[in-house]
Amino acid sequence: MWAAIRYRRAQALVLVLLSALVATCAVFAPLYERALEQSLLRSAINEAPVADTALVVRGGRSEADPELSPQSLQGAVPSGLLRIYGQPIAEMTDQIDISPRAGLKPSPGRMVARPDICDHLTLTVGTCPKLAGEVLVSAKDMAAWKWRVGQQFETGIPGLAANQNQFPSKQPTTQTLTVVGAYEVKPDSAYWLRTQLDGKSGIPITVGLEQVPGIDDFVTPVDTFDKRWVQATSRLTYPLRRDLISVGNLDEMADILAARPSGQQANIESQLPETITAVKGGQKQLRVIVPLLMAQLGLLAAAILILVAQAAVEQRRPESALARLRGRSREGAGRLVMGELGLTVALGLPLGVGLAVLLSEIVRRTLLTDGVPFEFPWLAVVGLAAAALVCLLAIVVAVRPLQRQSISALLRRVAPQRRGGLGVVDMLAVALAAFGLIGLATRTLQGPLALLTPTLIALAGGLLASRVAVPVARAVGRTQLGRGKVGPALTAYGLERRPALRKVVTVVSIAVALAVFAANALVVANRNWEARAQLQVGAPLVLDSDSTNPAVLTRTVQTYDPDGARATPVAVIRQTAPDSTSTIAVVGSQFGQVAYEPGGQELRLGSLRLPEVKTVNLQGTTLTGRISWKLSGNKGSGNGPAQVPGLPPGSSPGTPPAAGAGAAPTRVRIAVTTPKGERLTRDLATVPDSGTGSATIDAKLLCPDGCRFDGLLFTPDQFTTMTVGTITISGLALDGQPLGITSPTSWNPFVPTASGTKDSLELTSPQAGTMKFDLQSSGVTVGLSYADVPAVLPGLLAGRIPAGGTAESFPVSGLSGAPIQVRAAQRPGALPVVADRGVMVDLATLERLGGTLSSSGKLSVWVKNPGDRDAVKNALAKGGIGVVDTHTYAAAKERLDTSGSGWGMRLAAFTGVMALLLAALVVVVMTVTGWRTVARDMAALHMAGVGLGTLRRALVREHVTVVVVGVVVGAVCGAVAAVVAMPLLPLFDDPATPVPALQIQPSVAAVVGATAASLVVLVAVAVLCAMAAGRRIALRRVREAL
Amino acid sequence: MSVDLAVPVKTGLGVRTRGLVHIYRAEGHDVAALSGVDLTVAPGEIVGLLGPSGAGKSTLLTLFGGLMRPSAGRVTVGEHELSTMTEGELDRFRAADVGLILQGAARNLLPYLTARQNVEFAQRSARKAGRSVPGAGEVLELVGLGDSVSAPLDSLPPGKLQLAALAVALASRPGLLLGDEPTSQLHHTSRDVVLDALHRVNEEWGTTIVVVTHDPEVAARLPRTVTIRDGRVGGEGRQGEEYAVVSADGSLPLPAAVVEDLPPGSLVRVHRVDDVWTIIPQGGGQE
Repeated sequence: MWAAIRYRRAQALVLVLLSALVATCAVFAPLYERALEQSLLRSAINEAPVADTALVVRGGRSEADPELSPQSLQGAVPSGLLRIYGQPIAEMTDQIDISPRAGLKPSPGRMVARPDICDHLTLTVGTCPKLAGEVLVSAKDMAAWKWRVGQQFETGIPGLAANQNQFPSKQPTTQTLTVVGAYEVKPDSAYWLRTQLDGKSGIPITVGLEQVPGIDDFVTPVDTFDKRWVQATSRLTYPLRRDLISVGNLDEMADILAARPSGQQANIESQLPETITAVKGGQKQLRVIVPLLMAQLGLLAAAILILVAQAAVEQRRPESALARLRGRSREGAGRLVMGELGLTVALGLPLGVGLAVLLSEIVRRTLLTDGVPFEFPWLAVVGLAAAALVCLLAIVVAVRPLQRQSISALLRRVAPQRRGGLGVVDMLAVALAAFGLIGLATRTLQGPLALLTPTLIALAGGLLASRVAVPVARAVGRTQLGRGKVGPALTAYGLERRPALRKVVTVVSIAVALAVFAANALVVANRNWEARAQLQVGAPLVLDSDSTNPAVLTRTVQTYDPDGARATPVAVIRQTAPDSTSTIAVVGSQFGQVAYEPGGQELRLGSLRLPEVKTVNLQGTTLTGRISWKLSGNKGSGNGPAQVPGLPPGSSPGTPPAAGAGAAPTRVRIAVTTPKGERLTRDLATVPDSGTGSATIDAKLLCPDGCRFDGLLFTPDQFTTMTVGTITISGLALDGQPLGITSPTSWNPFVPTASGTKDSLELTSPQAGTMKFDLQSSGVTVGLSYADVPAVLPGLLAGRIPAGGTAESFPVSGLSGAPIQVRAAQRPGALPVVADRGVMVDLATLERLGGTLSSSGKLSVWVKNPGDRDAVKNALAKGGIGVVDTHTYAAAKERLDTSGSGWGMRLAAFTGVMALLLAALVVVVMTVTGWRTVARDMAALHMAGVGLGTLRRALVREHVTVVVVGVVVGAVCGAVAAVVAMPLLPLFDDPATPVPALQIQPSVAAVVGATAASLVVLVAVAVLCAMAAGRRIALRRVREAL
Repeated sequence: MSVDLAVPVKTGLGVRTRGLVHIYRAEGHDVAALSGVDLTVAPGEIVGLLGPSGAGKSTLLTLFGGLMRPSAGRVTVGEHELSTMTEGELDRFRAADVGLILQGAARNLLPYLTARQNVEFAQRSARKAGRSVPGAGEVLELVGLGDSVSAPLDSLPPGKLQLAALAVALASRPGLLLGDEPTSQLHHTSRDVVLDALHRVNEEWGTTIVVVTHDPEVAARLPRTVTIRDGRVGGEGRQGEEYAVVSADGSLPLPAAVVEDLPPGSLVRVHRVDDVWTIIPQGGGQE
């Protein structure tokens, strides 16, 4: 047997390599998958802040346990969990109220106790507190409030007054705290976790209706929290031992965390379940992508193995004949060949395992996160067994026809050919491919067959093409011969006569289909990742600022980039409810130059224009003018004041001027917006609801910091059922300066409060400086808003219309968090950053409404060129604005590239290249194994008078034709597979509906490019092989015994 | 060469055919390769099969070797009636009782084994069936290849390759040796070496030998020749004399030269005078 293997060592080497490749695919897939899962887990764990992966046990004191301390909580954690966590960090806290300076109201603060806390602080003055009641204060507070060591504060003890019954005698409800030093925090995220002692000094805090200055935390020993501190909270934070968590114990940890006890004495919290869920999402995608790609490659390698084995078996027909001649049975003669070939392919299996391990080590050490261990999962053993089975089965399948032949058939030099029709294997392949194709097209097919369908389609296509080639070649040969064209006729007859060449069509079809599918998958995946990354970030570079004043940020950015072509301010205001609609405010004229278009959809940024009407800023004290009226009113139950779109509800804090006449007054009010965004009204005058008259306007504006003019409101008496008439205001001025608001075009159209009413309010200006209002009210407030801000802002709405609204008017959050009305000028599928749950409005318009940024808002600068990062940061710093976070498209894309799906897709490149290499190998092998027969046949033709040049050109045409047919069939099958099978490939780890919507239509460029590359490579190999075989045509070959 | 007493002395197997017919299908129609062959080869005889191409010689050889089953008639080799044997019985028959040399020495040999290894390969089935076989060296010595037992086959000249092929066919000391053109494409010196080897085998082992040949010089060295013509026995040659053979149905194939003068359809009278039979064409004429 070894002598037989050595005799055909080149062929044996090919068989070994092919079986090694099958084994490599089968073993590498689980190795790669496991390594990736570990890498994804480590990336997720390592990138997460320590606080996010920590286990937090929290408990509060109660009657049942009045002296609860952090040590008491240790028993609450299941021991199974503690295995992967380190030593806990204990902490006790409670609220305090401290007057920072005499005469000031108490500021709410916090007192914190931790063991060894002073080791993590820099003491700028004093010593570490040791006794109960001693405290450290922050250096910033000490400097700001001019505190000193030894200073004492009195603080109330929260909840003590209500829980005096716990004590045998009445306890003092205050605690004296003595300052013994001042601290600065040493940064150490692993120790501090989420506890931030400082950063609050001087920041206003709203307490009730007032604002008080914030103070940093006081640091104290745990002894300070005696039994009187009945609401003291204890906390134990266990940092995760990141080196101990592994894919292997992930499920176990998830189960233990899910079953953790809560309530009663302690709550156990952990964000690890969310991390585990995200990692499992990635794992799930890997378990689809990796088998999808590797199974195809493995199937191709197995198909090639069968074809090469068939060629090898064909060469051993004489040996099998001799064995039968010398008395061996059919089975015995078959076993002879199976033994030789089986041993050969078996030699490839350990080589394949070695290659798989080597490949996975290369990936593990060079591409994946540090710390990924080498593992050989049990699936790899299963894969190896499956590969062995496939390889040996391939030999059995190849040898079986040999065993069925009679001795006389085996003794023939040319094997008997089955003429026409499809064999059983062909029909099976076509049936499976058709089944898979229909199943995928109707989205009803799942599982292994779905994964193999792309290759099955190519296999069926290749087999059919190779069958059709026979009669076509015969017909072409006859035609060419009839025309006297010997060369083309030889090509055609060669194609008809040589089954090995036709097998190349099948293999090339599968390989090219796989290459096309892989190339398309990569391009489509990358297209979607780009779109997702662009949508997630919004621009190539985004700098989140610490500014809460949109106007200041906008001015600073404009100073840096007056044209707005390089940088633009953006505000994002999110709401806490999960399905809520966020607001993204942009400068419409600049945004398109800097930001990405989401999912290639053009945004109608032109509809987000800043109104041309200039804002009227009211800086003054007294409003004056003249008001005259002619009204008729009917009394009844009345409807009372109501919300006017674009204008605030409610009453003014001022006292209305005396009524001109009548006992049922209609209030005339001016609506204003303060710089802080508060929307207020001020009474201008009160007029009777019926009658004629005039009066002087003399009203206090009461806007010490100035206001923006919002509009005018007319509110009838609550008992009036209908008021109709005109009210004329002329000469309206602020401190003698006319307001300049009389032009009707400077006002928004009237919007009734409810549909179906007859309320109306129309403005005309019969003469300069005069506004004449024709009003009709059914007892509700009617008003007009000034057109510097539309009553209903135009917006681009992605997602559902928010609850309570229609497409023409729906509520969303403004910059300060107060609701504003917006109409949908466009309904794009997604918007940058806010995805499919947001509305885009004009930032400058929102700025006119004033106010500081809501706590759920964020002001950012979007930058076109990431290289401008430092310049923009410097410009912001000059404006007193700091950068708190940075996001880049490149980083977002990198995260997607290294997600589970991303890593899985990288196999596509490997698969496509390997497929082409295999196809080239098959062309070479078929030439190497068959060249003697071809050379002998050609030599006989040469002896009969056909020129050597004609013969060699015919040979080249034969090889090239076979390859071209295979490439065309493969490209078509690959394109079909790209259409039906692409939905199988999960492109994102997140199982939620992808935003923007997936674009999985095939990439023409990828399909054409892969086809062209395949054609170039394989035709080159075919030509070289044909030329090498052609050089061996010599007359002496005629006498050779094969 | 001495006879190895450890190995039972075998005598050749006789061959007998009665009404042997073989039809095969070619290009869509049936072809009768043999049309009723009655032939007897005595055990230990050496017979050469002669005849034009397509006469059925190789087909007859193939049927003697049990490689095909006849379409009609019977063929018996020794005690074995081949037409009724199962496939397993035919495998055992080929393993130990018959050796076949294919045309072209290389077709009989595994190219990656030496001559000795080829003989041993051919003996495996017989050994497995429990038959005693001579040593490979002894077989090679017998055919005259004792000095090249371990040489690679591609280093042997054509004559020695043919001897190696002969040795492989004799590996299990069969009672019947069949050879298809065993001396074709050989130089006359090598041809004689091969013929001498055949005679030696027949003398020492008593093996019955049937060979197909086109070479008249080879035919002249064979004690008996049978001419196959149009699927039937057309004549025989013994000790240099040519004889026509009367068939079982009484027909008498005439020599080709006679058929030229008496084409098919000619009317003749058969006249006996004492022990001399005379054929007289219609209208007079000599025998």
